[in-house]
Amino acid sequence: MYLALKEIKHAKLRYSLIIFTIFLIAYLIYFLTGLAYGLANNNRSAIDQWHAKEVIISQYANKNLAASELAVAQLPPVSGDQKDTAQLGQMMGVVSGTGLSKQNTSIFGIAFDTFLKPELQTGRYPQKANEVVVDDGLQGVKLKQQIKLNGHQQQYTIVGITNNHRYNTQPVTYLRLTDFSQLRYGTPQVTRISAFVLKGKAHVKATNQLTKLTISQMINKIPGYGPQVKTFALMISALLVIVAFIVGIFMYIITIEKTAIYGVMRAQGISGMQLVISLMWQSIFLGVIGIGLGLLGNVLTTIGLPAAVPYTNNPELISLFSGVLLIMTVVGALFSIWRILKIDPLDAIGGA
Amino acid sequence: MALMRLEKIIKRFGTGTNQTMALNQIDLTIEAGQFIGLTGPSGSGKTTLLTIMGSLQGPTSGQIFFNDNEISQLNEKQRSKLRFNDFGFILQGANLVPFLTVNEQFQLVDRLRQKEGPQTAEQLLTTLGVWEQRYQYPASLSGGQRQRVAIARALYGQPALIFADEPTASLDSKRALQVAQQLADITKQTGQTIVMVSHDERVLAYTDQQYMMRDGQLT
Ligand SMILES: Nc1ncnc2c1ncn2[C@@H]1O[C@H](COP(=O)(O)OP(=O)(O)O)[C@@H](O)[C@H]1O
Ligand SMILES: [Mg+2]
Repeated sequence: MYLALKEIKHAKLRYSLIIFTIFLIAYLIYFLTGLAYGLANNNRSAIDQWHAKEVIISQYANKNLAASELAVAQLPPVSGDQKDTAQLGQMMGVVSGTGLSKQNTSIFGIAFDTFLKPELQTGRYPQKANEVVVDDGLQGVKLKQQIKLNGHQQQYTIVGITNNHRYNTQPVTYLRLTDFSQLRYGTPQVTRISAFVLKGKAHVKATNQLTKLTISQMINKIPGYGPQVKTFALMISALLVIVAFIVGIFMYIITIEKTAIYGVMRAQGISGMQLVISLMWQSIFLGVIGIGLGLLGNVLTTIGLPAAVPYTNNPELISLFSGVLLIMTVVGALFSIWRILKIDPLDAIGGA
Repeated sequence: MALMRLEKIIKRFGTGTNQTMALNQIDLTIEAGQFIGLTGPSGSGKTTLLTIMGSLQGPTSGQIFFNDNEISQLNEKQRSKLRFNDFGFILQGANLVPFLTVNEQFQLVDRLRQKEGPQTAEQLLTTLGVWEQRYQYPASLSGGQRQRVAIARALYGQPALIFADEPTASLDSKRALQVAQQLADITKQTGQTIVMVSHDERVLAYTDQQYMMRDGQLT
């Protein structure tokens, strides 16, 4: 560590360049992660808070919730606790109203005494017909406001507001199932729903009319979700590999340049292993500083970004990528080990 | 008991028609406390002999005894340890770690070895007249100062044997004689042994014993 730090101190500029490069890559990784996680979150946040296990949708929906329709009469018998099941109606919609611009929304029809009920930021749950809960992702919504859905004449009253409840990137509007039925099928009689949601110990047998999906399968089938997550994962993985190469190349060039110095040290009886340890310490030091600066950049970005950008930091992902970045930095430096161990103390004498 | 004994040392470089016989049957015995001079024309094998004695490389054949232990067959790790603990090197060119100040060159040794050396860096640097320069990096020292720091570094930890390859070549003649005098004093005062390669007759005059090399043989 002594050698490692002394050398960095003596050649501040060149090591600053390496740190700067690591910083840039770390920052880019955190930025992409924030965007990817924010976008993914916008697809699924309303679903995640159910803490459910499975959904039953119609066989014909091709695993896509938005395309599913099933008859309530068709639902299979449930074993286990009835409280761990809930009916869900889901459709895409448009919210409008006086003082509101037309905005896309994802409409959820639920019974507000089931686990599908959203956590409210303000207000209360609907108690009578045509009362709704909306997400504050819809610009301009407030309590007691009247809104219209999908251009119908019916006025709905906002009685509760949620925060960060989105499905397929759209803020969710929650209606009672009967109101949902009325909106979608023109009758308050709930005969058809989109999905049957199960959690805990509730269990049903799938029939050939029905498909059972785990929640993560269902989320992965949200149009665009899977490819988007894969694209980000691929970019981030590529950056993690690239950082190993960049650090590797930098350290290798520096190592080659130092061959004569290493030769002197080897002649003085400093073992190759001590030089390797010094190199490892250097890479750890450079990595920690570069990653630290990247984290700082990320914090500043989080503060500075407009709220409209779907940017969400996930501490677990950030820790994971920071760890992997540090490992890749050290892995990069490993390229130079054989080079150091190959250095002949005779190099110090300079031949004849 | 001899400090170091070389028996029938042969060193060849290359193969076939490119082969050079750098050392041809060298027998040499070095007693402790001696200041030994090694001279001879360029390419006669002086540096090669010094590096084989200093365990920087092994001989093609022959045996080397240091304190009656055979050292020519040691592995690189054992050699490294031997160089660190028992040998000192004063080389012709760069001898110092460029990113460490004069002081830190000695601190590095302190960190790597557990015990204190018998002479402090201050004593050595003062004797050699470079104590003032202790906070400087090698690049900002004059050639003579650098060489004297290198000598102090080689002597630090009191190695039994010090190998010097043309240590005065880069110095002006006044400095060269001063350094020769200091090396001679060291062998008298501490009983350390020095083997020094030099072309300079006046520098060689300070040595106790001189060997001449020609075509890989001692004469
Ligand atoms: N590493 C080496 N590879 C090949 N030949 C070498 C090597 N080192 C020395 N020699 C050869 O060995 C001979 C002796 O070299 P050297 O010991 O450096 O002589 P001196 O120091 O007396 O000038 C020269 O012919 C030189 O070319
Ligand atoms: Mg030579």
